Amino acid sequence: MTQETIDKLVKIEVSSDKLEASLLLGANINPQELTPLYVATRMGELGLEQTSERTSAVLEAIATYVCNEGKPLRHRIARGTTPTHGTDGRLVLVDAVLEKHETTQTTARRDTDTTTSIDQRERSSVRWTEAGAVIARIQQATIGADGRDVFGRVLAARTGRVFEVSPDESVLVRADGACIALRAGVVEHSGRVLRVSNRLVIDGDIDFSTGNIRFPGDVEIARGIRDCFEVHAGGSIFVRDLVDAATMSCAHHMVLEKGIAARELGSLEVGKDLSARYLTNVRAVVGRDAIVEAEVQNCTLLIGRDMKSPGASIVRGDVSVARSCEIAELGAPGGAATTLRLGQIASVHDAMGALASAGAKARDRVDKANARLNELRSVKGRTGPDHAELLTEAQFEAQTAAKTYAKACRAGQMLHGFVDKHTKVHLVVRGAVHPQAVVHAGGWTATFTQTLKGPCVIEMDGKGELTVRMMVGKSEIVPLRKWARVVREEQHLNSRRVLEAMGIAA
Amino acid sequence: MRILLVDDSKTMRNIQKAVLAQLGYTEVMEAQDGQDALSKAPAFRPELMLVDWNMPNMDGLTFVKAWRSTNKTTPIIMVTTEAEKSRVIEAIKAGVNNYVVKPFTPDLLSQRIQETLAKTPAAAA
Repeated sequence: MTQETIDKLVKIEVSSDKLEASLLLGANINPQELTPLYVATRMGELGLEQTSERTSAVLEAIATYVCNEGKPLRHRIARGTTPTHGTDGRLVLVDAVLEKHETTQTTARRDTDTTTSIDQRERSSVRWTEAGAVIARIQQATIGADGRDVFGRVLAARTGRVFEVSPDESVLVRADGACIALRAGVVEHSGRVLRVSNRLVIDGDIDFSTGNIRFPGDVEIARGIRDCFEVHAGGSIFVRDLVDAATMSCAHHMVLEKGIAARELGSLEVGKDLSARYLTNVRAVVGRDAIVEAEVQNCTLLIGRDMKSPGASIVRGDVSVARSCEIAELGAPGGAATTLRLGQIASVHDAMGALASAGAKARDRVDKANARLNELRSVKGRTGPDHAELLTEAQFEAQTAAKTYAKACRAGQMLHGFVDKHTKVHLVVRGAVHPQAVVHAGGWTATFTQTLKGPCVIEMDGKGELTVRMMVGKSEIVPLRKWARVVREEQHLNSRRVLEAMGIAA
Repeated sequence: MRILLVDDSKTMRNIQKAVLAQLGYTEVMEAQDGQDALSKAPAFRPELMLVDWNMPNMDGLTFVKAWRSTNKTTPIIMVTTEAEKSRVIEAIKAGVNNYVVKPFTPDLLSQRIQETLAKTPAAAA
């Protein structure tokens, strides 16, 4: 076999990506001429360096070829390494953020008693995080590892792209890549943006699909709230649709666009203002203003500041307003027992009662202690150690009682100042006050016997009497007695009376 | 601050405790005579002591002398009906730091406690 012939029958083929080289042997090559040295020489001509692995592969190829009695053969004799490209950095949310948030009440109950049935309303599907929790981790980019082709040339690996998160003031990114929520709320992540929103948006109703809601920020509910569910928010609550007999509380405002019909089962606690189209059969405590568009029916309302509802009727129930109250109608033309208390803050009224009692007791204690002290001091002649101890005891009691009384007096004066500043009797009626409506104001109870047609203002005159000032015509001022039976409330407690009971001037 | 009250009258101890509470001191131990105080004080390690003079078993003066034989620094206020000048001098010689004569007002006792602690840097700190 000539050199030219063997050269044609022995070929070395390199793959197009240069990651593999194969030895191709044609048929019937003289085994005497097919030597490892020959193949190595041919590989060297192509630039393929010899390694022990490659030499082994060549020997294996030749042996196989000989064993197969000179049948054509293709055998891989060299292999490169592919580059391992670096991975891009990315943000990985922690499982707790992705999992359903269950209320602590539910979790605690499960931990302590597995046999107790679980209130499904307490199984909330709302996901939110506490302040201080790790909400995500930045997975750092990797640089990868270079590869080499069969000729030994470097195949460069692509370095992963660094991920840079853009947190707002609600997230802190630590040096180790941990992202910490700086406030409680819903974790929002899109692209590079990571934030904790203090607004929770519920697309549908509050029902078994959502469970009860306890959220530290604002809660916006696109639809309504079903019977016996609860929504508690550290911020404000906005409800777009009807609210059934629900229990709701919030530190800021509550807006019920279509109102609540609570069937005497629901309750509202509002830190600031309450706005609603209507309130029916509900008990509500409002820190500041109540704004009702249409009707307040059979409700117990305690309003800490003003009622601004010029288009609303109050029918049945008991409404207490600390300052100004503006409504359309009070009571109903057919007669409905409806009570309106003006110039009252219920909690302060309770405090006044407690203070009047405590103040009177403190004063009594001071009197008794002083009497005992004077009695001991009046003892004539030489007295012994026992007398000295009794005197010490009496002095201690007198001083302690005096301090307690002084504290009560200061509290009384503060309360008086507070009441003076935050309450007043001022009722604006745009429509009418109907018979059987009762207004408590300034120590008077006015039970309406005739319809008072507005617009008019009911307020106190300089003599402390309830009057009506018409808002049309000559704006004449008429005693309320013309429309109502007005009687003095003997048990009426106001801050001035509290101070009198304590023996101090306002 | 740890304070030991030594008085055979429960009423007096209660008054003293109330005055101390108003000053913000609530870590108080009570002893009903000098002997009781000597048994309790080493473990309690008081930082102030209010001691009555006339008590059964061991009077206040004997207690003060016994305590001062081993401890020179704990401030001691003698609270007693003994008002004579010679008795006051005797108590001070025994190692008493301040003196309150019964009957006293809560304000007076409070003032004496503060005075005494102010003069005792370690206790005041």
